[in-house]
Amino acid sequence: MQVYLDNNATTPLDPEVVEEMLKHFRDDFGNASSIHSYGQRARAAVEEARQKVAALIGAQPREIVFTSGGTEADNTALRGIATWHRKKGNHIITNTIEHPAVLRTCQQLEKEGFQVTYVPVDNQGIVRLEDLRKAIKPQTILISVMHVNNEVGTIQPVDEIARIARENKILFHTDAVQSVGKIKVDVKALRVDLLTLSGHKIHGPKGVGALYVRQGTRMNPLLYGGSHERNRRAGTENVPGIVGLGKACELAAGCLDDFQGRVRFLRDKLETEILRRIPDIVLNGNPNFRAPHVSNITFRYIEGEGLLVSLDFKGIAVSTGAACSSGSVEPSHVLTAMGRNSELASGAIRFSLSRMNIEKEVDYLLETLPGIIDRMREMSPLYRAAK
Amino acid sequence: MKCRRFTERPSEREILYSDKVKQLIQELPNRGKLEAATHTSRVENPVCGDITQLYFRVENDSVVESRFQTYGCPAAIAASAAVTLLCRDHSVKECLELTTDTLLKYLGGLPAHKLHGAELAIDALRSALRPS
Repeated sequence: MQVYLDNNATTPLDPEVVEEMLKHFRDDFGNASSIHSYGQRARAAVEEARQKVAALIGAQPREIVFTSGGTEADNTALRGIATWHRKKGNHIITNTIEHPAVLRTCQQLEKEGFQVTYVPVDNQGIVRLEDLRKAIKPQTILISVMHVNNEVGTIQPVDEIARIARENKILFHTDAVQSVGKIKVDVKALRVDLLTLSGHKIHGPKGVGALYVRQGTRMNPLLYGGSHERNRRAGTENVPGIVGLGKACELAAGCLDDFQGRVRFLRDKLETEILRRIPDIVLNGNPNFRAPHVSNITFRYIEGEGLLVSLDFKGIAVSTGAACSSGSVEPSHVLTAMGRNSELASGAIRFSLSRMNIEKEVDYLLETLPGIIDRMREMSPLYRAAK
Repeated sequence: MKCRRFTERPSEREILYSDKVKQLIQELPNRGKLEAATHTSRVENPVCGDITQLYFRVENDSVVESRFQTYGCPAAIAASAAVTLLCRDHSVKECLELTTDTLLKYLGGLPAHKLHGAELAIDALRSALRPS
């Protein structure tokens, strides 16, 4: 049996998305900027997709800028705001458990003369609001805090952070690639200024994403060239990709209840049964403020990569909380920021579900996992020493 | 147009672990503690935290039984298992002549960033069987 439980890495394409995209690979190949009928058809498809993306997050279509994915949207938000507002201030606030698309961009901005404060999180992965408030300076121009963490699924209090930002006249960006299409995201209710989303996390294609930019927000583009995307993102539109993203958003909008109901039930079953059947495990993340599709569990006395490979032999795909490379283990920066030591981070496995998973798959995991854990602990010197 | 020839199947080019390593991980031969061991060692890689314990029962200068326990990545686990297989029924002298290169050949290679797994296993082997 093949069981894919690594949906935070990427999701399988929905067949309906593929169908929509194929038309634009095969027949409607026009450049959306062309005036002739080929171009007109491509333009109509792009604008229809824009409406679908906007509808999913409660935005106006004109507030959606298509990008090549989540990373480009994050880069555009951070660099675009930082460089435009530099005269007002040079200070940015983010936090320690962001995706590298935000963290590395902030590190680069530091090299270019900006100051960045990385606010810590508590041991369940929630940004400490008191520290965030204290970090605000007169020069602060932007706060960027992700909506749902990709590794542990913790939901950040973005509405509260947006309120703090607004009170201090600071712009607020959230990377929402792990929340859009999985929990309800309404940019007007959250009152964010910028929001990142990605196609391939919601059964859409890779290589396409979008940045929501609240109307009236002034910023520089990341890429310069033609006047595409109302001068906010130069480059010929990736029409099949954008069409795929639009379709994925349309389908996701109809599946939010499924996530809250069926997917949450599967995740809870997976987690409860693992806790019941296997001793010496630690749950990572906040059990109350967590997206319904993620479970991050440390299996003590075992190194995660060995467990990942053993599960892969049985047809089950998951991911680990640490990467061992060149003789040094690099524990996940998220688990480290949450105060997990190297051993606890090394034994962490992330199970991430999607609306395409079924109960039989979770049952198969639950049948398979305890035996593998027993075998691996049997040969772990740490387990013997602890017992 | 000239047909592009691949020297290997595209799917085989980026594979992380060899079939031998996968087989060892799947079967984990000789895993667990050997109570009757005459020679043991415990070696730790202080940087990545991998730990390997090897157990050998030596009779008449020959390894008659060998087992391992490893906490670490698949490379370290497979290398330790391989060492226990390669030493069985060999003299202590022959075992001590086993090199990282020979072990890597037996494993069908390891990814460049995982070579330390083989080094750990060889260190543990020498630590256990080296005459005191």
